[in-house]
Amino acid sequence: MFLLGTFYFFASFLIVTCISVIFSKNPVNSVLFLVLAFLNSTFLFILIGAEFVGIILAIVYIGAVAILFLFVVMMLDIQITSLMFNIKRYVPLALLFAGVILAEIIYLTVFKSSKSNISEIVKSSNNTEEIGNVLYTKYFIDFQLSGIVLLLAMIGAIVLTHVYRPSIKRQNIDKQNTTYSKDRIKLVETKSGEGINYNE
Amino acid sequence: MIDFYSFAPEIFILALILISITFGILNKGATITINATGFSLLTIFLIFKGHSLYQNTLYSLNTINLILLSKIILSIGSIIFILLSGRPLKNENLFRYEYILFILFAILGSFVLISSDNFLTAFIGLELQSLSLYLMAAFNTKNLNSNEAGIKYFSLGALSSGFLLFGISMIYFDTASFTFQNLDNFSTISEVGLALVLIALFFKVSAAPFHIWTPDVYEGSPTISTLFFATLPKFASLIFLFRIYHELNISKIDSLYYIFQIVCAISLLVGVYGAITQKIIKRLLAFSSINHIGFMLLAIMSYQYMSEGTIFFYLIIYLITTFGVFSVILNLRTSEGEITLLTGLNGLKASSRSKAISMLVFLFSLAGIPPFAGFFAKFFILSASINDGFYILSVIAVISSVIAAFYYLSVIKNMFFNELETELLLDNNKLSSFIFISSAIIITLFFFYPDPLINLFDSLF
Repeated sequence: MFLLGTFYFFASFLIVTCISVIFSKNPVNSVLFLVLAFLNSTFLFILIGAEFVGIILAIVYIGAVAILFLFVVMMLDIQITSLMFNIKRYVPLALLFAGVILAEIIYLTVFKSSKSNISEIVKSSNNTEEIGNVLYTKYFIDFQLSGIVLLLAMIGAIVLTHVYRPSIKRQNIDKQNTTYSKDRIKLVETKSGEGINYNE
Repeated sequence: MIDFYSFAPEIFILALILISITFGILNKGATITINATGFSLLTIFLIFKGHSLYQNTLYSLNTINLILLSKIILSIGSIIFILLSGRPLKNENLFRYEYILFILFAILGSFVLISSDNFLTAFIGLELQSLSLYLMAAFNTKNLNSNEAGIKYFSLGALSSGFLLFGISMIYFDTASFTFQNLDNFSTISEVGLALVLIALFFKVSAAPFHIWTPDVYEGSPTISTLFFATLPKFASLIFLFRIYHELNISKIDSLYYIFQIVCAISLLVGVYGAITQKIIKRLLAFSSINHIGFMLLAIMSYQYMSEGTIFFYLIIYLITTFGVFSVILNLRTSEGEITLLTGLNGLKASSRSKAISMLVFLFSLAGIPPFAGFFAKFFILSASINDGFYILSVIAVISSVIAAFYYLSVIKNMFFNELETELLLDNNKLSSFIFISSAIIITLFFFYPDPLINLFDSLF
């Protein structure tokens, strides 16, 4: 009973924060509500016993992604009114999609109650250990492939954002290594009291 | 224990990627040579030693042949594409070695996708493939259209990946497994999940109600990237779609079967009606590719009558023709840059006879006019589908190709009977000339000497 009560508390809180993300006028508030929504879903995950996924959600999404969002939103100068202007046009479409998905969920849960085979997997005692057991054995290839996807994302981000400007002075290591000191430094004998003529 | 040997081609491509990252910094041009050589070695390996790769897997012999043949086609296609990509990029001042890396990543993703035996690996392969496609669309960072194409492709592609993941999670919820084999007795949740997976795949191959991104992305991206979108990744996704259709027995599930048929019919019609009013070459080709996707879906549905050979035959002819058309377009430049409008083709006969005649062959073949290979491709599909009982779809397919002939012929009219408007630069790119001339010869000669291709399919399937 206590568990069910907590679930409904966090779930309704999650829905409220999600609605606030969309409807708050200030983008910074939106991002802060997004953080709150992530936090609530973390609690939901911990409630069903998936503590690893919950903690990862907290660390990655709140600790990294949402904070990055916050930085970006604070740095961009967004015209709030222009964003809110068009929303009403999309209400009928949004209601249509939401209605279809709601009808699907009702159809699936009420009329076609199906027994899932997943419950045995979720109910194991130690979630983190279970993930560790399969991540580097059964799903090793997939794990490595996701690493390759990240490599691609890194290269892609560099390609898209790096602009080569010839006007900027750069360090050219090849050139530095192949020059000799005699090309760059001129040793001059000076007589005392006369100095050197620079232009020579 | 993981069978690493069956991943040998993928590991080889990964090694090529890592080598190219290192060498690309020192010498941009070397990446092209290294990777073309690498893919030639890979092709030779797949042709002669390919069957040993999948000995320890659970695939049937038919599936192994399917996977191997598509991997061989993909690696031959990537040799041609890698060699072809250097010159057009240099013409646009875009040549950076990362482009070659993106090609490699996309091919790696396609390889993983084609030979995957579970939804998780397939998802990662598809993501790897489409991420590099987004980057190739936005590669011309100084051009606003290219940026727009990249953003459109990325946001819509991310949406479809979301559908795919949602579908996969529903299937996992139902069966507690990612593999294709465990899906024997379906419950409704798996059915909905599979429908979402199919929607995502239809998006990736740009089948009709999910095609909205195609014309814009084709138009905005650099032309060489458009060639890539239209050929190799689409080929891989179609093969994967076929494997899903075949291994999950989708023809037995009524709701999904209807989805397949409806998508096929809409693709055939949207492809032709969208193309009629287009004035830009790449948009026309985008709509024509949607029409061809409709034919390929028809082939996938009626493959049982003949064999997988019909699909491969259509796909191979489509790949050859598309490579030919785009290498002609890449070769046509005015002093202001590439030709974009259809009127730019006016009077092509006068300025370059070989290009005009090759283009004529390709367009006739795309329209399905008899002596050329495209006719036989369409003919096999139509005879298979009529024998399988898809009467309405066959009628729609025939009507659509009659309408399609109209706009292909109007392009031909532009090339042969209109006056020359803008002076074309004679950009003598020997490689792409070689490609379009040889594709034209292959497509013409098929009528006289069809045995090699047909014998190949007979021995494989």
